[in-house]
Amino acid sequence: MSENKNRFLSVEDLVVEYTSDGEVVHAVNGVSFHLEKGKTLGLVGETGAGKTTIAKAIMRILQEPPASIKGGKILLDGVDLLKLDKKEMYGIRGGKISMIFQDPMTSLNPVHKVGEQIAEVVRIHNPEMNKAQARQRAVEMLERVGIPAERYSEYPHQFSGGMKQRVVIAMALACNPELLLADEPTSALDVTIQAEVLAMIKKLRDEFDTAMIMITHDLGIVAQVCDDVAIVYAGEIVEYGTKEEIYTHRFHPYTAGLFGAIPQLDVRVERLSAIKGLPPDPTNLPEGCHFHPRCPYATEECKKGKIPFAQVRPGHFCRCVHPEEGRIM
Amino acid sequence: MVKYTVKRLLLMIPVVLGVTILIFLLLSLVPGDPAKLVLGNEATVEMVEMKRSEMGLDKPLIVRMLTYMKDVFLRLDFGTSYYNTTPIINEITARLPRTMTIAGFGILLTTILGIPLGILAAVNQNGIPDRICMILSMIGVALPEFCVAMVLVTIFSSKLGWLPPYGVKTWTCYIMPVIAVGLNSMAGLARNCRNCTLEAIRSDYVTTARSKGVKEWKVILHHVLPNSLIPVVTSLGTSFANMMGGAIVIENVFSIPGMGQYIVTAINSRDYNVIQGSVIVLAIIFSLIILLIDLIYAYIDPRIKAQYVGTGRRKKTQ
Amino acid sequence: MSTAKASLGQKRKKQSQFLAILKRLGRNKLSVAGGVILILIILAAIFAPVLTPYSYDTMDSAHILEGPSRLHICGTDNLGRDIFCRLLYGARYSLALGFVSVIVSQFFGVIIGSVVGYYGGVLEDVVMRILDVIQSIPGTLLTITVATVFGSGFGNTILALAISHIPGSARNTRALVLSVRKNEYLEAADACNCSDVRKITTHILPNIVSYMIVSFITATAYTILQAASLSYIGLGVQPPTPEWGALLTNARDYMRDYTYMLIFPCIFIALTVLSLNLLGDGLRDAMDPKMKK
Repeated sequence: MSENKNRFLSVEDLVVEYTSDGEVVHAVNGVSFHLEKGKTLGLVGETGAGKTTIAKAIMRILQEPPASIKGGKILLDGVDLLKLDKKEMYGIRGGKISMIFQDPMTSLNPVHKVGEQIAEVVRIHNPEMNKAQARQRAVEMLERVGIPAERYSEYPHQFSGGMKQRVVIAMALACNPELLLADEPTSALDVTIQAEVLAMIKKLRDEFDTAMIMITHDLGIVAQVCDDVAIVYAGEIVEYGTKEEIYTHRFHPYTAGLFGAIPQLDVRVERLSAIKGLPPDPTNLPEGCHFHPRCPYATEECKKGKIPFAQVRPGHFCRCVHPEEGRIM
Repeated sequence: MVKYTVKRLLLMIPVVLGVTILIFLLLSLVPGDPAKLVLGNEATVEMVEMKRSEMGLDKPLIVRMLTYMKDVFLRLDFGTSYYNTTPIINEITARLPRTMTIAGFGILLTTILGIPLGILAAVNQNGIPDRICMILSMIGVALPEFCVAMVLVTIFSSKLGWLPPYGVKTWTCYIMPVIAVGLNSMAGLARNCRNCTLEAIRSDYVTTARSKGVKEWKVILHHVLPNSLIPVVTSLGTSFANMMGGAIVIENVFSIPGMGQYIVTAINSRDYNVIQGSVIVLAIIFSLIILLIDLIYAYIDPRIKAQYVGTGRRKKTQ
Repeated sequence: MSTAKASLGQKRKKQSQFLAILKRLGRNKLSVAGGVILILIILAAIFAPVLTPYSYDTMDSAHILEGPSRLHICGTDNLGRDIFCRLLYGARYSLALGFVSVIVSQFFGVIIGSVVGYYGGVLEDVVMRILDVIQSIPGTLLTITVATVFGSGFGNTILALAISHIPGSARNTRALVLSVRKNEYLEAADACNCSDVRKITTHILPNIVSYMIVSFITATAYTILQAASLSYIGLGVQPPTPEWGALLTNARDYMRDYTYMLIFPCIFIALTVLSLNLLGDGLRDAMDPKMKK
């Protein structure tokens, strides 16, 4: 029982590829992690690292083709979501798991009233409710995200970006999901709105006691909302541990590079360091450690074979041939 | 919505006046003297002069134009043909219904077959309906309407003897003309509908709908189509224009006494008064159709609707 | 070192954009087929005198209305003229009608559309209202009216087709220019004190050129069809000029018993239009910026 509770969601060796024009994009290459009930995991990485693909694979909403899940398991309460048929998945999406998308400007349907878009998800997962009850629930959710009830009948184009994202959040939480996937929920918003929306997500997550996967490239957001952190690079998790572990002990040079790019008030530096080079071409990933072409510490060893995901401190894993603490990029 | 309709109707007035002026000026550019043309080569200078003043050609262009416009818009009088005294408006009222029947049923056929085919193709992208749709849309636009009409006549009238090759005696006479004008637009519409639907299927709000657990058929029906059909509705205007143009040409294949035959006969006998009147009437009808389509468009797209309907108007708030 | 490699990669991608489009086009078998057929038809039109021993207006009263045979592979018409020969020569007229009139209409359409779209203001209002008026006449009807004014004949028909397509071309160009104008790189150009002419020629037109190429090809296909329709109703190119539409007009009285007179011109028109459309589609897909990585 406790085992079950501890491993509420576990993703094992997930592999996702996109095929287009005969080229194979290796988007996710053997990702594993697990999440306990009520906890929040941060998936951190650059654009194109495969974070969104992981989330969409969990929801099983990847566009197939071109995407295809080549292997792995996604266990939710011990049930492999990848083995469920379409019908069973309908009940899980929006009910047990729901998702907040990156761009609120396009993620709401422009021809439907915002309130009805929330009521729709309520009706799907609570078939016993009638229309009025679903509407009542939608209004309730709108008010919880700070939108007055009388805006129920308005259309998305009448809302600003921040307000739309609140609607999306209300929609995602309307059915008390056990797992919330937040895909860069604040990246498309104005900086001033970002903090508000983030605070709202945090507050509601605590109120609904929902487990969450927060996808972001912003380590500041991770510091505010996450319990665990997984650093993703080229479709692999390169470092994994609790937030405290990762923020105090960094082993992977890429993680060190990410942290080197954040300004700090207490340390005086001439300029922020950036990671040199570009993320690798996902159709043609480098042999060995995918990071080696950009890594100043790379040796011949790094250029071949599969790099093991080794424990470097208790509960802290790193995928590096030469894991060493406190490196500067 | 009523306010919007009235506003759009009022906005149509300058367009209609503009079309009349444009057509009048265009046709006044035609070289040659209509009076001479009517009287033939043997006419004396005096006879031509008399005819000119009888036809009002001795007056300045601007006076003739204003007189013409006064007659047309205040008395619905388009004048008479150069060669006989039947008022043009009488001919038009007799012929227009036939042309509009062809165009109207053409657009009906186009929508009923084209839109579902396009949707099916998009939903089963790269599947069999998609292949059919693509092949049809390629072949459908590869031949001019009159060519399709001629092929149809050869097959169904000459070879099989199933359908009458010409005339308007029974409703069966309209089958081939309607198919001939409709095929081209249907192909275009199916293709357009497919592309719009594909675009909508790939959009973020559809991903959102799927992530809510909406069943796939409902995603298509409730989330994709209301969005993808908006641009398709606007393209119906172009389809209708093609229909009218096509009808004008193919009436001559089927010897249907409609507007097209009237115009073509007039072109060959240089009866410019007839061409002028017919084109103006068809342009007005086309403007009305476009207006109707715009109204439907405004009605189904909340983004447009909100601008005109009183309720729910609210400025963006943070 | 790794940086150098990465930037080298970037450079290589940039230089080969044109090649990449060609490569993607090459992968689309239908478009390649379209391109090949089109080239064959153009070559056949150019080398018509070599490909056929007949001349397009030589009548042969001994061989009227003969079906396809080894001597006349598409048969002969009611005056004993070789239909295959007339089709090859006809390709010269039909293709020229399509290409030349579209080049002319696009030329003026692009100038009007880009100036109007770029400067906006009163000029735009006035021009757009005029275009509204012109476009409230259905396309074919407008072409017919303009063709009536100019009269029939090859040159007049090109003029009529070109003039009646300028409004549509201007409107499309304006819409494209407006969509490009919103982009920030134009503000950046403003900030660099770029002249208007330079902005239009180096920042706006290159960004819409791919759409223009595709619309050029599809407009040509459409214009070839319209030209044929004009000939059919007695405007357009007149006999004995062997334009494809004129060939079909001639076939009208004989198609009941001599079907081949109808079929072969149909095949030529359909093949040409089909290959143009396939090529246009393929190009559009190949140049679609959404597909670029």
